[in-house]
Amino acid sequence: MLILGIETSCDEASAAVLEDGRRILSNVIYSQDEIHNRYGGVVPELASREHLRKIDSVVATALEQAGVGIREIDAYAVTRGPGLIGSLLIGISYAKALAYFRQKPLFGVNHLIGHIHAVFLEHEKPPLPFMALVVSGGHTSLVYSATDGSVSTIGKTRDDAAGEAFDKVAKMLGLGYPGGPKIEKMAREGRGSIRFSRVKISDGSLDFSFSGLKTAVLYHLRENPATEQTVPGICASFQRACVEALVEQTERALQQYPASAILLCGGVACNAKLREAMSHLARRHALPCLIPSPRLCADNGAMIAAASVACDPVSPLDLDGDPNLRIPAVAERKGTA
Amino acid sequence: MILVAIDTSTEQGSIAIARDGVTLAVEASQGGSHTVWLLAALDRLLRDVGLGRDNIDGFGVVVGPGSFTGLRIGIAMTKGLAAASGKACAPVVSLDAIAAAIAAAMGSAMKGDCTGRILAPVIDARKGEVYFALYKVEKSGLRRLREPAPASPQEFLAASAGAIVGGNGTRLPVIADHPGIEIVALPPVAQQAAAIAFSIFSAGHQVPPEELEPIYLRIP
Repeated sequence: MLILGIETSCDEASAAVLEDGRRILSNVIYSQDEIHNRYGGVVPELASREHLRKIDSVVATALEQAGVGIREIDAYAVTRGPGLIGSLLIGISYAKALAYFRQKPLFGVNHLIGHIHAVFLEHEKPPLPFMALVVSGGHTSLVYSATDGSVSTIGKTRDDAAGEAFDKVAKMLGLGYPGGPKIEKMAREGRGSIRFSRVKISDGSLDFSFSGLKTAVLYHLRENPATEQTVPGICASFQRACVEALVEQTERALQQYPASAILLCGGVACNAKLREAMSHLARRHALPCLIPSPRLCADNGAMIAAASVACDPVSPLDLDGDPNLRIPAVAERKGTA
Repeated sequence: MILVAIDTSTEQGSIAIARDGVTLAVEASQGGSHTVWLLAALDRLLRDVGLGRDNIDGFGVVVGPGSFTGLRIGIAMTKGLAAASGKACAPVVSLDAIAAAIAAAMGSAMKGDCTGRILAPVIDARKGEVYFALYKVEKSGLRRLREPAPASPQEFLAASAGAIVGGNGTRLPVIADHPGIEIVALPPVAQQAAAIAFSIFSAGHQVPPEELEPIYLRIP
């Protein structure tokens, strides 16, 4: 069984061929970082234009590297949301046309579920229930996979995603885009001794907030303009505050929701300090901590193909993009929202 | 030669299936996302004319100028259909197809009804602008006099005085209410796109799907 997975939800165009839901035959990722670098963030119109320019070659290369032809593909999977609508529609329109013409099943995958399934490409799926922290440039969500197989959002960011905060702080410091790797590299040379104030969510929810932290850095820079000597310390301090916020909230979630494992995924899961801190948290709770290798943390087609096992096929005639697609909260699932 | 032609350059999209440039069946969108209605319409058209997907010899697609998102949906879908079938594509300029639709709406350019007249297809480009071009109806067909470009409605009106006008730019009040303007309602443009696509294939100018590119005429 060969599945072609296509992902174009933000600024990475990716296509992958997956065999039997697990074995990656190819996973081609075309990053637009260079295009968006000068703007300090993703420019949606530029991203859409670039996706259209690259979609053919990304898919063709994925097929070539897998050593298969389009006629050998048994099913198609594509990200249907959440994401930038203009970007989503390129992958969706292309995948729909392939599935329709070849008369094969099509799966419209939730991008966040895709990130969780990236974990299972390299690790055995843990027994239910488990907890996943999905953290990227566009998303910061705690997702709980319950014993009955239901998947719910139990915490989410109320403003910026963690990765977005990295991008914005990197922009303030003139480090370029994407901010995550730039800040992480700088932080290695600095000490995280500045205490940036964080917004603590006081209503007992498991939500996150990163815009206050970003503003704290902004105010600090107004009083203390960045110099070559101070940037590493600012980066280390900001990174530490972000990691602490993510780990603290995950730990609070574990106190409320029993879990057999902690999963960390999404682009920010490439961050070594976060990986280390989350592994440490898991050890304290005697739980396994499952994190994909960095290449599978980034947006990629293999995770979308892998996540097709978690959805029902849709008609290629009906599928549309949903930029605000969510994983329902527990209360919504129980019909009490 | 059986061609499928797709136009999603404006909110009023259409899709046609044609044999040697002559439309066998056409369907216009009833609103809603181009991503959703387009394939369902293709599926209906094929069934209506009793053809299968494997009977399609190539694809024509309107590549602009027009709605950026609309163009990208039509082109992405055409790229997918072409990649899945191994067939080539013909890129069609939106204003060329609309000019042909104006001529068709006026009767037939070839019958000389409007020979010598100037046609002015116009598309709402948003942000207070239009895309337009000018064409002259000649006995041999349409000749493009002015290249597609963005312009203010006032520039368009000055350049198109005395012309026959058509396209969704005519919904702008400044154009619709202009004294003496001659506006015609258009048939689904995919029919003319199919005819133009056939002439592109006949001239051997078809391209592989990876060479299909939108004509934006504007930087982001």
